[in-house]
Amino acid sequence: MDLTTLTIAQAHAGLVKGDFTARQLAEAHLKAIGQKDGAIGTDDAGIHAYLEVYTDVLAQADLAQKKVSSENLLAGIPIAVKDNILIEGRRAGSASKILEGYVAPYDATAISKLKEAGAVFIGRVNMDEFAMGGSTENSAYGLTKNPRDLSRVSGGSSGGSAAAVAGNMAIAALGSDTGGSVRQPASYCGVVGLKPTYGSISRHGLMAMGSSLDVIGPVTKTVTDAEILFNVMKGKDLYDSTSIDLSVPQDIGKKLVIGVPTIMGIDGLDPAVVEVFDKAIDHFKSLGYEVKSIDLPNLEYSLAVYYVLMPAEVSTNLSRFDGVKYGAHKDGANLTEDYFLTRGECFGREARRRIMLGAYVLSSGYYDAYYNKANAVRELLKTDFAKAFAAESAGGYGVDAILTPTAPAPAFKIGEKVSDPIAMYLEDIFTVTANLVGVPAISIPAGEKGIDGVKLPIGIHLTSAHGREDVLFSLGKAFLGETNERV
Amino acid sequence: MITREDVEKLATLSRLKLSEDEIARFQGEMSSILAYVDKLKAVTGPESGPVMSVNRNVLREDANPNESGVYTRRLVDLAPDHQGDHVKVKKIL
Repeated sequence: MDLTTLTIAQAHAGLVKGDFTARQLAEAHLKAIGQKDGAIGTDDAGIHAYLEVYTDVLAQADLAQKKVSSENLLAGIPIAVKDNILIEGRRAGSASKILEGYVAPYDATAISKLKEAGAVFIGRVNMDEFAMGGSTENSAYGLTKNPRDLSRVSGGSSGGSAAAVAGNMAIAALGSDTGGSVRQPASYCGVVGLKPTYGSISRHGLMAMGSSLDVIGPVTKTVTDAEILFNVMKGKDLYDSTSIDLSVPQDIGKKLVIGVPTIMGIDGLDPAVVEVFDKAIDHFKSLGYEVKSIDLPNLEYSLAVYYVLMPAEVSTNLSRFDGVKYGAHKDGANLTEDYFLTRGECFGREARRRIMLGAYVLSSGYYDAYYNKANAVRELLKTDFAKAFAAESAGGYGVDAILTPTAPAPAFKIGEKVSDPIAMYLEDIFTVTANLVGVPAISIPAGEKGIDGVKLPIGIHLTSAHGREDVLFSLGKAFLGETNERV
Repeated sequence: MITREDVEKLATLSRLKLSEDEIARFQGEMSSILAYVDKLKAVTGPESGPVMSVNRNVLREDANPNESGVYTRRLVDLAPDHQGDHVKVKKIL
């Protein structure tokens, strides 16, 4: 039996039955990494998902074995962790030179919950520096390739997470999603990516990029697995005052309605994406769901709003990296020069560009024209979504979920977009809105595009109302034909 | 549009040392990004201003701190330069 192809649910069942041990499960994944991943930053033929594979994985697995029980769904499950999530005593660096040598002094809350559940951390995986990018090409340590086609990107920023899962080098992975960073790489690599409701999973111990947008999310092989991880990690946390407890509805209790926005707001959608999307609509209809058109009048402005607010928050959050408190330090003639040299030399190009853009939109002369305007339009977007999810009797569209493609095209070629930031940013056009509005969204594999003898995965994207992850799980499982039981 | 002087000013505000090549490159890239986000100007409706009143402060009271010294050692040890329980920095006055 190939243990690396198992889902969380299957591996859990096998562990409980005693078909194999947590150690055997971990060994199988370490072996797969050894065979397929290569060494990041080199020109070998590996996938390059991992920045570091931990040396104590088998010891973790032996401890986890003691927690294996029918209730403990994650005990012994090998999980990869994005490099911007802290695990006490281990390196974490957001794939940036400026955090060279940084060792996490505490556990992220999501991590302590996974530890409690007996998950096995197999290693830390690659990403775009500080989660800025859509291809992992902005990592300071080298890019992560798409397991389906090594000449293409894995997507980003959680590209290492998606490639590790798609390449069967971890059963599941944690990513973070600020504008699509879990969902877009999941779509490119053919796996499931969930961006939960803002605040539903604590941000404590997640390195901040855009604090009003960031959320930790699972990358998994199935919707059921995403639900399992979400249920373990969610909840109000003392250490993140924006975290919330979601009251989980007991039963959806009605036939779900799916809305499709009338304006997709983008030219140049890949025809294969359109075809997969149209087929997905038909599939949902054939499953008995009502699908109807809805109008989200401000949707076309989402990406512009995002590219004002996100850099503003980035410029603020990344001001803490000064070469004094932690990480790298470049020595100059005086303290000011230390700052300039450390930040100038140790932040990559994308990070520096966004820091300066943020400083621009927050500067007194442009604050109203950009930052305040973007905040006002963000409120309009929230109103649009509230109306979409409101009952028809209350003047809304009465939909339970909104369906779009996840990305305008399948995974692009390595290097294709590095010199054109706008082209790269347009990859986020369908995903950023959920972060701006704070609602949950999921990408699920829906089809493929055959090109150069390779089948490139294409995802579809479902968005639901605040705290209604249950709607996404129900629709996602139905779409993929997973047994639709609450886990 | 962004001028060369704008980029230099922003780099100074952001404490980033840039090379000559980078200044030119960032000038072009940031101009194209700002040209894209300029589409926001087409949105009519509520003008800027009300944002802070929409959001509510969720910061906790500044109370119940960690026991003094619990994290000192491991945090100080992360600093590139430190001495005893202190982070060492260059003279600023």
